[in-house]
Amino acid sequence: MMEPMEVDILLVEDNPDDLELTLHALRRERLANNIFAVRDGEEAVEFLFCTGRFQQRDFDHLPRLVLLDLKLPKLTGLEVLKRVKQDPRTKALPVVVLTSSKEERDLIASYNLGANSYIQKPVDFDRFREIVKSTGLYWMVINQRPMSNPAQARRAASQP
Amino acid sequence: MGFPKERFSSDFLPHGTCYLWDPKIVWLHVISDSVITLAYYCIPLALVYLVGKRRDLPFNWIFWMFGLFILGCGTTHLMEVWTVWHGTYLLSGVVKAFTAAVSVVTAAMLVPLVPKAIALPGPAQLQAINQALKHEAGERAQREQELVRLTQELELRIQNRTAELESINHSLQIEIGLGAESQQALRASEARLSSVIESAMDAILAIDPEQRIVLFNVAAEKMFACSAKQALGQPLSGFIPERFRASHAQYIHRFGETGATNRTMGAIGQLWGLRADGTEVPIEASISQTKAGGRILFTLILRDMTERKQAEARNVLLATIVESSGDAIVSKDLTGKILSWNKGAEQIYGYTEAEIVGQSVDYIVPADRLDESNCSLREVAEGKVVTRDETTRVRKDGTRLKVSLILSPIRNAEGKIIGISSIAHDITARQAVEGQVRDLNLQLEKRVRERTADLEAANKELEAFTYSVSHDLRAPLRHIAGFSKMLAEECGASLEPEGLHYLQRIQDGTRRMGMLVDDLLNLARIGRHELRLQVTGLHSVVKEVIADLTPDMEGREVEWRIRNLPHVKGDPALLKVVFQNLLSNALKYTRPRAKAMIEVGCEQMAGEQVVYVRDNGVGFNMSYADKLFGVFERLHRSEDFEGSGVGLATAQRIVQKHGGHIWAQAELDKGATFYVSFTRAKDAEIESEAATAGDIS
Repeated sequence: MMEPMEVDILLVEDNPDDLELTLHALRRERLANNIFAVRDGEEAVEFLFCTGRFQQRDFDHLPRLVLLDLKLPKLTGLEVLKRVKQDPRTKALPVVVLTSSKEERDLIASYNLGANSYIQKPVDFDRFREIVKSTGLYWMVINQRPMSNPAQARRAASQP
Repeated sequence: MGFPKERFSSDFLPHGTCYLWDPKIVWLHVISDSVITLAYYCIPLALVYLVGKRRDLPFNWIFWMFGLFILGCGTTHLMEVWTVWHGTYLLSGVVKAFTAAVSVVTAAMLVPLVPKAIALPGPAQLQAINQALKHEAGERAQREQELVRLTQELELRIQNRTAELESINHSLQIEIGLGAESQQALRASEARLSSVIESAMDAILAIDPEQRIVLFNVAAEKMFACSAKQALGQPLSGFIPERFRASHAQYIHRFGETGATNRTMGAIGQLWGLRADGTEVPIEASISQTKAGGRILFTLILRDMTERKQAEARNVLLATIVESSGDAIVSKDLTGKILSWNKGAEQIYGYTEAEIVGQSVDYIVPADRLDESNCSLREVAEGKVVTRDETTRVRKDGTRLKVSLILSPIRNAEGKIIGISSIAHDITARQAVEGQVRDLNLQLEKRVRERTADLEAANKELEAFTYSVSHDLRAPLRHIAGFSKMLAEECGASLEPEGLHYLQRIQDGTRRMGMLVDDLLNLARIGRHELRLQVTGLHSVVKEVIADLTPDMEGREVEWRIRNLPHVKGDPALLKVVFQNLLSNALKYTRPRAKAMIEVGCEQMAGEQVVYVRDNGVGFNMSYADKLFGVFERLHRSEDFEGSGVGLATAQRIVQKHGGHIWAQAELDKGATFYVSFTRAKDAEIESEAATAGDIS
């Protein structure tokens, strides 16, 4: 695991098999240098808001993308999503739901909470790799983001 | 048999041969016979003429017989002439036989006629009779003259006698002191009497002992539709229907003999009068007899009973209605004493009419309802109509019953309230039924609630199950797929070919299972999916699906025939799923064909709009048609045609959710046609939807 200071992608995944497969796919495409994985919802929230285990982390170094599973111990993926999208500091952070199901209620809840994308993991591994590749490509390369963290920018704007 | 014609032909020698054809002898016979014939023929002509002119001739038939006889004789002579040259002796013999027969009959008839003919008077006798008649006529004329004279004398004597009687009458009037004033008073009295008679409502007729009408008042004119002018002098029988005439005349005759002065109305019984127009009128009559001027007069007073008859019929009808009613119809006076009691009341309350009439209505009112009952009686006595939808009454046996009640006042002709009518309807049975219905409804509601709860629980379980399948069952599959792939990729080089083969089987298995799980989840999702109905153009749906299928058509020749497709009311997303399944199936099962032909069209079947998808693929045996739409049911081996066996089940689920149905027609190796029935969107709906959504079609 990388040093949790400079993180490109935060992967929130409790299942070790999924974790390994996803990391394998991401690394194979060499789309991100720094991938950090957390294993439950609580850990994800602590990481993003620099609390608990991650209180030494700098809030200014938010990841560029969060890949979020929904079925997580302690706090569910939807609860994590809710906190991220409700907090003005993290609101602009792109969160892509990457999960096993495409149950209608999960989809609706995710989008209502402000998820940027919803992707179902296919059974076929080739297709999974394809999806991971195009998702990474889109959010890490194609998608334009502000030069600075929106939260930083806001802080800068409020300073005299 | 028949009389051969040839017999009349001349097979024999002609008679002339006997005369040795000596012209003198021949012509002597011929001329003589001809003259005799002529003479004989003249005689019947004369006789016929005579009989025709003198139709009064006695025994003229004998002249006809003579005529016929002489005609026969003439003809025998004519035959004599003929046979001189032609040997038709049979014919001449027949003519002779006929003549012989006629002569015998004539002679036989003439013999008995002779004495009668002798008895006929001769001309001299007739003359004598004429003389005697003339004499007699003269005498008769004399007698008639005498009769006229006697009549004239008689008339004169009658006139004298009448004048004498009038003068006696006059002097009698004077004698008994009737002066001119009294005469006037008499006339006034007569006029009054006459006007009384004329203005009477009843028909008044007077008849003389010969039963001729001598008085006929206005009411009688109306009753019989006959003016007094026409009626006076006519026999009374003209106003009585034929079937009563004899008995009626006898009755008046007997009445006259008894000497009774009158019989009251109705004593005679029901009578019928005959109107001038032939119709009959029911009448009631009274009869009286008086002597006026020495003559007996019968006075008949007749009353038209038509209206009363109708009223009686109405009353009978009303009474029948009351008696036949199943409701208790009871009348009582204002104190509550029962006056009438119908059959319905007997049945409902158990008291007979004889038991209860004259008793108080309290007999059928339970103690706790007496106040209510009295209150009702008071209200009705004030003229109100009181209805009670439900009240209690008590039967003779003490049991209670529920009735609905209508109480209304009975008024006399002046409008004064003289009693109360009550109609009671037994509602015990109805209430019992209503109670049953209520109970059943409650039970039903309870069962519906229970069933709903069951269903909700089942739904929740199913939902939890599919959610779990969706999340937890797919994950290990993905892991197997992922790691086996990585194994093949990263360690493939160190594996024996056998190992690689097994890996491949693992991967195929997981892929298949992934597909199954996803299809099943789709099916479950559709079951829970709430329909979002809108007018949907099937043409665009089909076009869209075909576009999605493009990758599957690669390297194949496929001809799509898309006919006119309708707009239907449905959920566009689900309708798309239906056509995805149908069209991808069509594409799949036409794979063995060099050129696939897939047709999508619409036709009307039994008033329904049916969309069909027809292909020229491998088809299937119709005996398996019932398995077609079952989950996991497949009619082909997966080596031949891949598939989960969920697609058609899903399509059926969607179509059923739309209220339609889906079925298939196929033959092995000859293609298949799938039919889907839809509710057609109304034109107005298409227009309004098009206005709001525009892009649907």
